[in-house]
This record gives sequence, structure tokens and C-alpha cells, in this order.
Amino acid sequence: MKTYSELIKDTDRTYYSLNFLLAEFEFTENLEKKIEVMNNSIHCDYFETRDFKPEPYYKAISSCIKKFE
Amino acid sequence: MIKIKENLFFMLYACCIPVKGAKRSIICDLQRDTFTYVTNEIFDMLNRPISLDKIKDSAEKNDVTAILNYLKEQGIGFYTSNPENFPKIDFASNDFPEIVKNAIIDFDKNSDHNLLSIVEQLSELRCSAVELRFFDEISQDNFTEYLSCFAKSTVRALKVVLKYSEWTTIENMDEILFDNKRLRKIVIHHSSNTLSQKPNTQSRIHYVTDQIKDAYHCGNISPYYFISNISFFKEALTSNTCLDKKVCVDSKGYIKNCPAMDTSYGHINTTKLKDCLNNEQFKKMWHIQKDDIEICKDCEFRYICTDCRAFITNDNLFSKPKKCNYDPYENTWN
Ligand code: SF4
Repeated sequence: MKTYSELIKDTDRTYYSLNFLLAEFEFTENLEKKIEVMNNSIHCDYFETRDFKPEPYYKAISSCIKKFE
Repeated sequence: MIKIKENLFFMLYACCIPVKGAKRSIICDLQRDTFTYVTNEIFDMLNRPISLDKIKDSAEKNDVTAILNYLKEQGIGFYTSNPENFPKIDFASNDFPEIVKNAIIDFDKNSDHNLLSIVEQLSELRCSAVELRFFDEISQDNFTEYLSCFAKSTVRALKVVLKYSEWTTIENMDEILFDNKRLRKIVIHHSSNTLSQKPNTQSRIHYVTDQIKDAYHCGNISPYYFISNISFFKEALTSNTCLDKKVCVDSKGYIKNCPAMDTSYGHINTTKLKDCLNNEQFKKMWHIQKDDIEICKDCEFRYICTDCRAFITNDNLFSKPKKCNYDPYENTWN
């Protein structure tokens, strides 16, 4: 059994939220499956905030760009 | 495949909230910033905990079980024998301490407003996010001076929209981001090509070919701006998702709800920002919810979509944003 957080480099850990650190204690039976589900879910790539990432700010202040590549 | 036991209920996680539209629904996952499309029939079914005992003799048992298992696999719902232990999120509480949540300050080559004084006023109003937009080129020295105005401010997230010039190279921007931790996003317009960089997990640099010449290049509505998080969702239920607790200073120094709007509430050289907040007319815009807006009120994206009141389809203040080309009755982006 593995935890998702094991995949994160030690040096990058300070960037992650408390939620993420708590998830260290959560074991998952099928880590590959979990990662696949996370990677395939549709997410808002404007801020690229996913769970476990700190929010820069919770929304866009203006919307002056037509499209982000 | 999950084996279904008796006395079990299926529930959505508290952070997964179904929203019904005219033709289809979505489930907004406010924790992972995602959403999943579902049919309106599934929406109706998911409105309360589903007792598996009740469906076990129904003709649609297999279909329903397959749907519930799919939702469980996607991390949207779970089985429990104690649904009462999982209350819904209380969206009624107000936990925003800011008097002003965010601000836009515009500059062009003729602007002469004093940024430091504006930032000091914003700090008094506990403002936590600011966007600076430069429509014309500025020098690196001037830019660094503008950034230094935020050193002692309450602002935690700063976004900058800059016009491309010789010094706006990726190396320079990296360095500037490293020295200014508040700076979360830099958008460089008038660039010859498009490029996105993530120097670290908290900041972004985007080079875009868009030619942002003035405040009228705003109000774009697209899935790129959809935000599915708890703060935004909560705001959308009660207030305007763009203008709520927002104060703007346009490139000429006029205080407005949005720099692209005509109505101004005084000039920054003669009026204090906090005085505008006593003006009921100014605050009226804050309270226009998506549920009040024509067409948007029938759209499944209404609680994750940014709004725009500066560019609207007709004279009615409650009409749909003009730059949205989504038809919620057909589910098409035109
Ligand atoms: S119809 Fe309204 S809520 Fe739906 S995408 Fe357009 S602006 Fe957003």
C-alpha cells in the first residue's frame, strides 16, 4: 500500500497544503488507479488549483485574456 | 466492482454539489476544482441520500447501481449506513474578513495616479488581492518600484498584466517572481507567441498574443475561467462573482466598479476609496447574483462561472454577459 504523497519530492513538500500532508496517513489500495482518475478528471486550468495545492487566490480578478493555451 | 450491502445509502461528498441546468446538470467538486457532467435525471436522483434498500426491487436497479459505482470511482460519492453523520456544507456563514476583496488598478502612458497611496488605502480595507494592468510599455525600474509599493500591504496575491517589451524575458520574470512572493501571475500581452511557464507551484507566467490596449479587453467568459472552489461557489450563491467587494481605478484615475464601466464615483486624487463604499449605488453591483441574470439562471455553470456586468447583451442590467457564447438550452458553445 502506498500514499499519494510519497510521489512528491521532499524539497517540494513545503508548497503543499495541510490537506496534502494529512493525506500522508491515508493509504490507497490502488494508487495507479487513483492517479489515473485524478489525471483524467476535467479541471479548471486557469489557476491549476487542484486539491493539495495552495490557492494563489480563489478566482480570476479580471478576464482580459481570451484563451490560455 | 463494489459489492452492495443492505441498509446502505449512497451520498455525495459534502464538497461535491450538483447544479441543475436547463438541459443537463453538473456536479461541482469544490475540493478538487473540477466538475462532472450528469443528466438532469441523475441530478433529481442525487438530491438526497439514496437508500439502496429502496432501489433493490426497482426495474432500473442495475442502471442506478452502475451510475452510483461510477460516481464512487470518480471520488464524487460514497456508501454509508449513517447518512445523518455527513451534514451538508453551510454556505450561509460569512467568513470573508475583507471589506474589499480585490482591486484592479489600470495604467497607460498618461496615468499619473500614486500607487503607494492607493495600496495604503486598500490595506486599510483589508484587501487581499490586486491586479495591476499596464496597457503600454513600462521600464523595468518603474515596474520594480510599483511592486515595492506592496511590501507592507495586506495584499497576499498580486497579478500583473504587462505589455511585452525587451526586458520582459522569461529569465527576468523568473527573477522578479523569486523576489516578490506576492506576485502569483504575470500575463504578458502583445507577445509574438504564446507560452506558459510554471516556475514553481504557486506562480505562473503567460505570454499571450492578445493585444490588450485598454480596459475594454475584458469580460471574456469561457471554460478557462470556470472556478470550482468553495469560496467562489459561496460567493456565486449570494453575490456577483466579478464585482463583489471589488474596487477599481481606471487608467485616468477614476474610481469605478469596473474600469470598463462608464459610471465613476470620484477621482483617486480627490476621493478616498473608503468613501465610495458608503455609496449604495456603488455597492448595488456587488449583489447581482447569477440566479438573477437572464439565461445564466438556467445554466448549469452558473455557480462556477465568472460574471461580467460591463458588457451585457442589452440595456437590462440583469441580461447575460455579452461575451458569453454558451447556450444552456442547447448545451453548445457557439
Ligand atoms: S450562460 Fe451565464 S452562467 Fe452560463 S456560461 Fe454563459 S455567462 Fe456563464
